Amino acid sequence: FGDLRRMNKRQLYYQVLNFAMIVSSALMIWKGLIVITGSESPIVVVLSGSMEPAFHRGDLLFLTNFHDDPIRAGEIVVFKVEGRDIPIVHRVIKIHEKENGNIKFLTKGDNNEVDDRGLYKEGQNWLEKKDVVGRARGFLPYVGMVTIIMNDYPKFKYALLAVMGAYVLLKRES
Amino acid sequence: QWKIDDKPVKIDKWDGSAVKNSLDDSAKKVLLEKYKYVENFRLIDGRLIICTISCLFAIVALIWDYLHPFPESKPVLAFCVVSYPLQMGLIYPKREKSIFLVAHRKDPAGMDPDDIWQLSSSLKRFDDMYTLKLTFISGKTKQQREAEFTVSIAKFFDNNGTLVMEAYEPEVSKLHDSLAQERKTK
Repeated sequence: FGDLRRMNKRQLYYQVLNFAMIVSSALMIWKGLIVITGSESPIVVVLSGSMEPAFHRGDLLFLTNFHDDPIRAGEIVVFKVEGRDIPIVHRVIKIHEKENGNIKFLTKGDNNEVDDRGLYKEGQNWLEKKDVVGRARGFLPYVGMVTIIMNDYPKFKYALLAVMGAYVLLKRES
Repeated sequence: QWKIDDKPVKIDKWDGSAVKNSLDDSAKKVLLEKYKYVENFRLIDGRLIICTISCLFAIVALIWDYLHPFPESKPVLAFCVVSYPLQMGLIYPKREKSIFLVAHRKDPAGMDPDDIWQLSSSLKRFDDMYTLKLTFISGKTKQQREAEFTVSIAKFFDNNGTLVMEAYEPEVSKLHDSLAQERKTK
């Protein structure tokens, strides 16, 4: 703590500012990705084994959600069921398309026995464009396991964040 | 005896950034205490203000997006995201990056504008060669002169990581006097 004690007001403020800058930069990068990809959640983690052998639990997916991209049967989309937070990564198996571009589609996990109607809202049998978070464009295997661990053991997440925060705040930057 | 807060400065000698910070601080002390110059905070305050504004931009983007969920927030987000790195570019134009002290020497007669002294330094990662650059800008003639030295930090720190001011202070003073000298002979 010797470094900290020797600091004047300005330098102390700079330490706090440095911390805020790192948080802001991370935030800006994330929001930037959202703007560029058009998806509200451009990076998602595969949470279950319902898409094996294509995707495994813990894989990281990169999504885009361009408005004019058509959704075709056979493609893998990430969607959210109305009222639920968790994104689901499954394959489109059936589509009904109107001339004006409106679509209703049905999804199913490759590794599941049945289609997703059991996951949809009560009385809902089809998904629509508005439920789509994005379509998978690329992936990194295993990297998402860190997120899964942090969600399963929240204490670990808070401890990690606290240590990182303390390090940035206390280590003196030029 | 030159000391910071009246205690000798002791740091981890393997920690590059602590070494650089203590050398910078001590060089500042020499200029401010021995030569009695007055620190000008304009450059530093400017950097602090721009950084704070960038953080505000980020916060605004966050709140706007929360209130008007994407995709309605797209233009506001795009604006904030683009302006953020631009502001960073504002703070750190190439030459000014490593300046850590701007000090004024007030003309004793009170007639001429202040002379300006600037200190900047660099210490590469995992390297032991520390470069200290002193820039003098004459208040009267607006002429600029620079002097610098590059010395191994081993020359200034003992084995425990204590900064030996008796070795460092003369180097800084020499740098200063070499620039001050030229002024007198002109």
